[in-house]
Amino acid sequence: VAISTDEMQALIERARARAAAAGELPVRGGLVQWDLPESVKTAMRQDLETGAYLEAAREATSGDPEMVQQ
Amino acid sequence: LLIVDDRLLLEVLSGTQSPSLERFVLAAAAGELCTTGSWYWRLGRALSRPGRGALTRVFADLSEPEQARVRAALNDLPPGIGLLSLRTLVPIMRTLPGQLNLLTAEAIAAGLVLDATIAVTTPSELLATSAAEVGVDVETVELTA
Repeated sequence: VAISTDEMQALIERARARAAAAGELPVRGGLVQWDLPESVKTAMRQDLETGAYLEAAREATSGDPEMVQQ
Repeated sequence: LLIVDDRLLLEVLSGTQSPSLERFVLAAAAGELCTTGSWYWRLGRALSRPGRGALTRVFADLSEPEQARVRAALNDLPPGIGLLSLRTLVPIMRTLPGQLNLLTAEAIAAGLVLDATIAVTTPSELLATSAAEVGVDVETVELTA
């Protein structure tokens, strides 16, 4: 028997809460220690709290020949 | 968020730099990249028992530092890559319509929970149609050198 949309949404919300509580969600900066170009690593460290650093990282990467040409 | 298959996971873990992988590496750095247990297991299994498959071939072509990075990451998946447990996903998986295998059901359920796009390197009709039925986007990525 198919469940209702409301029931499915409730299951999804519960799963989201469980995933967050269990530490199953990805963590920002989890790859910073890897061999990325310095410009990208620098950008990643910026403004971790606001999330703006991702945009900065994209900008940095777009100008980095190591990232765009290899 | 993005959910990547085993091939894309291999590329991200190796640190290979190519234009087609840039956004996946950035997503991992930003805490916006996930995979599934089935894809993680399939990659780990393939590289532990090398055969003639695509994953083995890609791994063999990596440099030694890249291979070492992949091995280390398979032993301890970096925190930049999310992985939802079956404890979390099975309540969703069991409600999905259609006849699904474990790999497909896990990916679609993760897509629903994370509100994420599933990124694969090999098109799957079952995955595409089943995901579309519940509103999860699937993208086929063409890898370039």
